[in-house]
Amino acid sequence: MASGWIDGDSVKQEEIVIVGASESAEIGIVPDVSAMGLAIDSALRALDDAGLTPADVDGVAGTMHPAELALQLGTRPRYADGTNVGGCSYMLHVRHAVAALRTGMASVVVIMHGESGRSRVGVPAMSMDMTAAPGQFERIYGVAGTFSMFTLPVMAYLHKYGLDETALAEVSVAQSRWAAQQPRALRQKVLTVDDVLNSSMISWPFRVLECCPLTDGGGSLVLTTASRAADMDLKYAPVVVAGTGSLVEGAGSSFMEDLTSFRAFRESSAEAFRSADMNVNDIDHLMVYDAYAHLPLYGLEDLGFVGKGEATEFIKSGATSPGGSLPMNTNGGGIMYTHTGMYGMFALQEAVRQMRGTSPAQVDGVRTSFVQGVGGMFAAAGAVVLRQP
Amino acid sequence: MPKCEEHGWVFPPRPHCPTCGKRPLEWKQLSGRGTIASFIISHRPGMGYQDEVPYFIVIVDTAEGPRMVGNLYGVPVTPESVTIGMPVEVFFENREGVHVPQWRPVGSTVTL
Repeated sequence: MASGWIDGDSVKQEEIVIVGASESAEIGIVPDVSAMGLAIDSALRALDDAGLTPADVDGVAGTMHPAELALQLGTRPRYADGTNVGGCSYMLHVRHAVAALRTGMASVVVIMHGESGRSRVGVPAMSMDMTAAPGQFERIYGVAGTFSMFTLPVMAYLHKYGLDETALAEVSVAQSRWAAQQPRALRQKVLTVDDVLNSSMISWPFRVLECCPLTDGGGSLVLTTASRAADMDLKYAPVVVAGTGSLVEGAGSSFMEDLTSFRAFRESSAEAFRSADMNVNDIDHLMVYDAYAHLPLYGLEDLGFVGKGEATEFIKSGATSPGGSLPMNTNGGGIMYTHTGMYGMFALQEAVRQMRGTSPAQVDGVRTSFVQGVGGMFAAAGAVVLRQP
Repeated sequence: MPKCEEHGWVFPPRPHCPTCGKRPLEWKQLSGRGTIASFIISHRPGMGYQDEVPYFIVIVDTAEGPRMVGNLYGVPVTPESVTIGMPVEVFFENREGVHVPQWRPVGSTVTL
């Protein structure tokens, strides 16, 4: 299979680094700032990490219209990326920015996210596209939201491995231990399996504490080349983008090739590991996009950290909790921390914080972080591997 | 459902075969039988389902292979009523002139 990287040694040699990373000042429930306002606030903060201003930016990326992002930020970029494959789009933006920076299409790229998912400030009314394949063949059956479609394959998974609904509760329990250390997390209470199972039923077997809340927030990353970064006045040591991968699998959860394993997780992570020249044993810290509690189970298995059907036992053992061998979703995850709708940017932000040593739930000595995103409802995936310089 | 003579059933329906690009494709009839591949019980009403909560949303593996989403009728709406692999058969719900495939246990005579 093709590596997905642009060939040529001169292109490969240049290291691409993250020199700016910030969330918006406020996240969670922010009724007085628009989606664009949240994006721009986070972008200015991220630029400030590197002593940069909008005038230094010649590349913009985001799921919002890149021209509008550029205008609002205050730049006329040479490079624009409006890729939108759902919540993992930001992992793809990182991947594309690496290629753009290596080939000289841009010298400073800002990847921006802003979403007023809860307060709906400055965003059009939500609508479901009933003409595309998921609209015609999934949503017409009473799909009220992502909680009644993204969740749909899980019984096939649980049945295959002889698991029950407590498997999902274990995910929330483990992540709540991290969220308790995160002052910005929307849900900060340490949970027991009973707490989770007794919370209100949304879409059996999923309880509300196994589903992401809908929030408001922004986040941005600033990427440049290592040589350019060497001339910048950086607040934090740069974080190297060691490898990336992506795959677009299909339109929705019922169109997955296999209901018990996500091909886009498998292939995007394999490519990210390959391009980083690393394997699971090299990873100190893991983020797996968790709009719902089954995703870390699929993720741990599809990325190869555990064998098929073993993720629940692994999480239950405390391996992914504070003090465990594989700290995972250390911001509490989308379920506990925040979930604006397209959560991928927040998984990347926590990974950068862990690399910088600035997370409120800091893990000692994080040299590498693997960030796995999912887009749509099992529709696409993007992976990013970070390492210290 | 459209079927490519060489590469089989095409679902969701497209005017061409996603494997070889052949078009047009002929529409053929399926047996109407299948098994439950996965399910949830929705406790929040989707559009047009305001009076139905709670209700099943299921994925059915048709006997011929393609996987379809639908609702399951003809059993109590409890997790215990359904097992993965349970045999089901199609029936059609008439929604203002559009005939929508739905599912019930084999032998059930429930209709909408």
